[in-house]
This record gives sequence, C-alpha cells and structure tokens, in this order.
Amino acid sequence: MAMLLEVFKHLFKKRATLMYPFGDREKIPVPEGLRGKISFNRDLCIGCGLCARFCPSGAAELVEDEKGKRPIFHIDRCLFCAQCEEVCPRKAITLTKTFEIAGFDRSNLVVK
Amino acid sequence: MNEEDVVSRLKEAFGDKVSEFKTAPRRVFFYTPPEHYKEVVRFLAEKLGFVHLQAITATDLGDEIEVMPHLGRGLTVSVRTRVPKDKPVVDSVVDVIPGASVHEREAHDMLGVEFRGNPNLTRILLPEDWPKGVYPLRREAKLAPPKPIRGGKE
Amino acid sequence: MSFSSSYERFFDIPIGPQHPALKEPILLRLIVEGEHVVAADVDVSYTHRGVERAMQERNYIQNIYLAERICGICNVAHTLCYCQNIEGLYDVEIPSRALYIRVLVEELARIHSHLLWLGVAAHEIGFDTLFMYIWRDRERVMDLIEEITGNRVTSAINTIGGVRRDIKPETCDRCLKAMDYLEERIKYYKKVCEIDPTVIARCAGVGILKPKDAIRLCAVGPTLRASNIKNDVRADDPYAVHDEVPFNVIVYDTNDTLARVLVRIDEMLESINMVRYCIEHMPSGPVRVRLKLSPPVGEHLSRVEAPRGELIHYVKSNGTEKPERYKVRTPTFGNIPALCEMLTSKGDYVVNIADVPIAFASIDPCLSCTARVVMLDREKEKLWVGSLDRLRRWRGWG
Repeated sequence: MAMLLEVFKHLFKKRATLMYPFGDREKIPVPEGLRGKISFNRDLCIGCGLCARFCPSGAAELVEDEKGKRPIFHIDRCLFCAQCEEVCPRKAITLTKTFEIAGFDRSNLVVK
Repeated sequence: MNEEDVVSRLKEAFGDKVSEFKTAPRRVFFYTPPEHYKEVVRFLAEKLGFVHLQAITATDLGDEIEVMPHLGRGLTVSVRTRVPKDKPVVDSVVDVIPGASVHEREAHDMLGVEFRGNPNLTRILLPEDWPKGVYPLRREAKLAPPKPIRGGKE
Repeated sequence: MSFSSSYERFFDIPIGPQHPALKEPILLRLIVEGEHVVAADVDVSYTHRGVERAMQERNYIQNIYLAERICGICNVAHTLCYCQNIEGLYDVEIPSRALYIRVLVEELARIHSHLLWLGVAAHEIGFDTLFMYIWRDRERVMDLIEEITGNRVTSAINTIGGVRRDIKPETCDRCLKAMDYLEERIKYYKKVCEIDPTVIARCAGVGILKPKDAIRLCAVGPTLRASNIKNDVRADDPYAVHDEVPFNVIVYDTNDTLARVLVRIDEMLESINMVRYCIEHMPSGPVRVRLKLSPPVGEHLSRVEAPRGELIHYVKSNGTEKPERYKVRTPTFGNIPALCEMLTSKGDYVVNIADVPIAFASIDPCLSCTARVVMLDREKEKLWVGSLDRLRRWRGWG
C-alpha cells in the first residue's frame, strides 16, 4: 500500500531497462577500463611466460611458433581478471572493451 | 582486555600446561596439550568471556594434526593442540560452545579428527559415497589433475 | 528420504535443493506437526568445491582470483580478507590511499549486496513490486563498481600490497551523485518497510533468534545485530582504515526478520556516509607496494566484516610460493546453527511452513560461499532436534 503513489508516478516515467539485444545496443554504458576480451600483440611478446604462470584459470597456454615461445589465450576459460595484462613486461597483452564474446564454437574463442 | 592480559591470565591459571605464546595486534596464539585442551577452552569461554567460536582450523603437519579453534569477537585467541595422525582424538567443546558443532564436523570430514563427546559427528561436506578413510585435506590425498577442456567443437 | 504416511503425527517436508522459493541449493528437511515446524535440519553440501585444497595447489597471485570466486556477491570482502592475510605475513605498510580505496569499494559492495538481499527478501514475501524497484536502484551501485574496478561483480580490485587501480576524480564526483540518489531511495525503502502492512505481516515476529541463543550458537553479522548484540568486526577489530572512517554499529532489539531487514537498511545508510567520507578524505599517494612472490614463513588470521557477517581467513605459509594451509570460514556457515534455531517452534513461538522461505532468507544465505551440512543436537522437551535418523528412532521408526 505504501508504494501505490510511487507505482503511479512510474507510469509516466521512461523505461528503466534496455531492449538489449534487440536494439539499444549502442546505449549500453561501457565504462573506460572495462575488462573484456583479450587482445594480444605478437610483435611485442618476448615469450617470458609470466602470463601463463600467473593465469589463475589456465587460459593462457605457452606454445612455440616460428618466432619462439608465445602464449595463446583460451577465452572460454578466461576470468577477465587482467592479471596477464598486469604482469606482462612488454605490454603485449591488453584487455579490450569487447564483452559480447558468446559463441557456438570453441575454436573461435582462441586469441592468437 | 588486551593480549598481555589474556596471556598472563592463562599462564596464571594453567602454568606450564600452556606454552608457545605468540601475539600480534589483537591476536593470541598458544599451544596446549590435547588432554588440557577442553579445560583451556572452558576457561576462556566461561572465565574470560571468549564465547564466540569463529572457526576451527585443522592442519595436517605430517605426523600430527593440529586442531586450532579461534575464539573471541574483538581479540582473537587461537588455542592450538596437536594430536598424532594415526589416532587423532581430541575432546569436543560442543557442551561449552554449542555453535562449535558445525566446525568440529567440518574438521572431522576434511581431516578425520575425532571429537570425543560430539554426539553427531557424521559426514557433512563430502558426498555420502565418499570412500571411508580418505580425507581430502590430508597431505597424502592426491588431487586428480583437472581434465583439459580445450580445442574446437566438442 | 521416505515419505510419511498420512496417519503420522509428524510429517517430513523436504524443501530443495532445487525449489522455486529458495534461491540457493539447500535442502531443508522440516518436521511439521500440522502447520508448525517442530524440527529443522539443513543439508548444504550441494555446492562443495574444495576451494581450500585448491588454494594449496596454486600460487599466491592465482589465489587472489580463486578467493574472489568463493562468493560472487561478497567477492570484495573475500579478496580484502585474503590480501590482508598475506600482507600480514610480509609485515609491510600498505599505502593509505590504497586502504581508502579498499574501504570505498568494500562499502559499495556492501550496499550492492544489501540491496540485492532486500530485493530477494521482498520477492520471498511475495512483494515483487518492491523487488523490481530495489533492483533497479541497485544498478546504480553496479555501474559505479564497474566504473571503478572494471567489472560489474567480480571486481578484482584488491591485490597483495594494495589495490590494482586508482580512482579517478570524475568517478568520485559520479560516486557522490549516486550516493545522494541512493540515500533518498534507501530512506524511502526504509519508510516502506516500516509502514507497509505486507512487509510487517510477513516479517514481524517471524524467525525469532533470542540474544542468548545468538551468542550460544555463534551467529554473526546482521543476524547477530538484529538480536540486539553490538558486534561488528569493523568496530571491534578494525582493519584497513575502519579505525579512521566513522560509522555506527546498528542494532535492533526485536530479534525477528523485520529487525534484520531494518538492520541492513540502516547499514546501507551508514555505508553511504562511509563512502562519502572516504571520497572526501582520500589521501594522495601511491596505491600499491610491490612485494616478493613468496611470503616469509608464518601464519596469519584475518577478519573482515563481509555483507553477511564476520569472515575469517587463516593462512599458514612455508616460504614457498604456495600456501601450506588456507582456511576460510564464511559467514553463512556460522549462521546456520542459528537458522535451525529460528526455524524451530517452541513454547508460544510457532513457525509456519509459509514463514520458512523468508526466515531462511533472513540470514542472507550464500551457499556457494561454502558448502557444509549442519545438524543441531540439543534436548528440548524430550524432542531431539538433530539428524533425521535420530528423530526417526525417537519416533519409533527403528
């Protein structure tokens, strides 16, 4: 009963929710510094393996390629804690603001 | 009551039955043998007013298992006692602090400590079909490595 | 579990572990006589994950994120407790700006947790309008946490040696604005909870926990404070900068669910003032000290007032980069004996089956925090409140 007045007031206010994902996609507030999908710059990487050592969930895996050791990131295991970004001595890893990363295929979720 | 008061009251009441005192700001750790453990907890709860049991930490030290209840609200007093691993039996403090029951059952489940006098010391954390005599927080318990879930479509 | 026949005086009613009225994977076994619950037994072992053992297998940095995932809602309290614990092993001075940011984020998380709980409680009593409005306002806090830390829920702001991000001045301004908005809204919800007949009818006199029992059964947090016992880790055992940030410990003396609702609402108002104080008095300087990966040999016990109550972490290190023993005691675990107590009718205090969901929700249970079964064992008018087998024996079922 105590809320009746409040409820009537809200009849004339605009909607609090967004129609995501069917529109209002651009209205989603994404603040600066959101921890989203990892991006990796191969040219900066020196293959020290710190990201793989400190990754809490084993999302960073150390592999060999033509230029030597490098990590690959399995986003399906990633926690978005940004520990790899923090320990990387060459700033080769950054977390972007991309947050829509759901998919049907695991192989799309590997950042090379 | 500060840390020194607790230490001096305990030394006064129990003499050489309590030892290995270690203090930090608002923390007191000390050792008492298992036969005096309940007596000491009762003294702390009834005479010094440490009626709140925060938790019971049980640790596998190799040959012995350390049982350590943490008592108190502002100041935390941790009473450690050590029992041999092949016969880990210690007195229960449920009749002094009824809230201790859950913590004792947890220690019983994870490290196999027997609390003499706890009327309801049954399995709590582990599934009912968990093999008898396997205690996950003991050193000899080995964890199966997690199965990797990597690669493409599965 | 066997079903009772209709000729029995007592019925077993299992509720859960998956049940629309309870949002947590818990099995409540209620023994009812007519409409009254005469014995309650709780089985909370459905989400046991072995976090303590897993922490012994990971290094101290990885464990920050594992500790964070002990509980989603109180993740700030868990990381704060963990980091304080490890810093206690090093014996270092943490920069005071970092401590202020810790308290700021902790109090924001407390507001978010209490608003979430208030919404859930409103839902449990069938007042979904209130639930929707509260959760809409909760989004403001979530947005602030996202802006400060980089994620809505799992903040990952605390780290060993300080905090990982500094707070920007424009964020502080937005934070203060949001606090003004929230203060007005929370005062409004307090008024609603005090005068609304729905809330009063469903909460007043339900789930009574007497102060004597609360002490005896080691209840913690808002459950304890609603039983008129002035106890708060922030006041009794101040950590971070809680000895500088002023606040009042809220107590109510009616011991029931309504008192728990009001304790949490008043705590949010206190938290809002603490957030304001933190922003206004935040010192400048570094936010982090770098520490070696392996702490020295030793042990440390750390306590934090999580939104649900007192949280205990204990660490024992052996000088390597992995802890030798890590122990976590979460607040819900400490409150479960008290829950069994408040679900049991005795004397002229009766618990109806319809009161069970809100009485259960009133301790703010969070079973992902830790999964343990609890059975109380005590004698009361010849009736054993304890394991079901014991009760069956008493009833002559063999």
